[in-house]
Amino acid sequence: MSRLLLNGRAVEVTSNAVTPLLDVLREELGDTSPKPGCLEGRCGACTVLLDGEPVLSCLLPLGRALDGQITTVRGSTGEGDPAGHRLNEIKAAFARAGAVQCGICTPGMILATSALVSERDRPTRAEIQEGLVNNLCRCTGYAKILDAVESLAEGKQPGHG
Amino acid sequence: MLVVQTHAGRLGQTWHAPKTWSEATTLLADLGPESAAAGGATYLMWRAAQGEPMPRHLVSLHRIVAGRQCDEGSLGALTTLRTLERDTRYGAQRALTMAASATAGPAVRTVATLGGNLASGFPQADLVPALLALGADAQLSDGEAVPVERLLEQGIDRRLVTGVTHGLTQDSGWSGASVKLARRGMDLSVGVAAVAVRVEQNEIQEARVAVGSLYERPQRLTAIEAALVGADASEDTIEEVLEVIGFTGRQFQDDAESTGTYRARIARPLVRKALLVALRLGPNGEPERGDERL
Repeated sequence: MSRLLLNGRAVEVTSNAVTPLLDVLREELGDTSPKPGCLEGRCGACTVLLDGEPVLSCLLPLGRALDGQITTVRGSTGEGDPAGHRLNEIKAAFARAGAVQCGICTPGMILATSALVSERDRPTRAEIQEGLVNNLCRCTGYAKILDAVESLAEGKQPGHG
Repeated sequence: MLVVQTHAGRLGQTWHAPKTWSEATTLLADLGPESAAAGGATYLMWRAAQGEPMPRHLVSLHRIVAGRQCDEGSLGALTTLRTLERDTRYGAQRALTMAASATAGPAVRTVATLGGNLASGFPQADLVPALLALGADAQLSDGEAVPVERLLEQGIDRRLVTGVTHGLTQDSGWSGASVKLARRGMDLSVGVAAVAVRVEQNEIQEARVAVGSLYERPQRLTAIEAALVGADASEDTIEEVLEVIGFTGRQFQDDAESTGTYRARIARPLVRKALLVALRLGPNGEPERGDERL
């Protein structure tokens, strides 16, 4: 039995420490927000945050995650939690921009965005593209995702100047 | 529910997380050939996802604190690529910063380590050409220091890389750069060129040039290095040197990322680009991203 810090709470896990964190989250803990996409580190659908930094949970052994704080997109309601509040702001920006279609990439995109904007207040378009380079989307063509992240930096609503 | 199809953790592999290099080396010696060390473990987990066998015992080095320093001339093996890419050090070590910034994506760089990049023996390891250009030594767990160039040729047996050191300091006038060409952001590189040069009065005094992914393993281009010494630090002269010396006599690598024919075509512009970036930035220029287009 090991203890994992997930979304601000300590939870007990019994999986083998070599098991990919993605499997532990989805199969043992029932948090299906990280998505199993390519399962080999190319699509970013499984992105979660480890101590605020993006990681690919399909390639992260549980044992490596036990020493840090894991955040999934279910992370927080935002009440009294600045990081959770930021996640909610990003979710809202994605919704406003029409940056969500099938939704498979969205949790990973939102968490990668969270890491990006916590490091850079006003990322350029190129910096946004680099920040999201781990995250593939096969529906949107990316433009609206980039608009959503840009709107966060500019504090405006996409499509409304 | 979708089931992840990797065998990692499902075949009874055992996880070990020592807190010192000494504990790690003892563990690896005791566990024998069925064990392997991991920095960020991304490469081993990726291999498992490809269906390749995993070691029965995985010795994760992530809890070892004495291996994370990121100083000029001395870097711990457990320095993550995220730490490296945020390093604002200039001079020749900038080549390493630029190489780290062009490796995979942020979510890989969070856990991937300098030591893992070097010790995995991965032919497309993006940081290795920069280490070659720096003339770096790998510090091994038994106390021996081995030039990275020799380590690539001979391997390290079952010793661990605990850090790397180099002597090309910013205040001695060295300038470095690394440029990577890949098809898309997350792809393995088609080619990487890393350089370190020292210029006085617009004349190249010393030059170190290394490439990765072009050949079977990363290597220095010593004939080009020798021809650059004494040359003007100008685009025309560099172009002339590269044209005269050329890249003939070596077998370019054919793999899933590129044909050898294509690599033969991009070798010269790749090295030229790295040299020009190093010269433009000089010893005091801020690092740029290392994946400039040709």
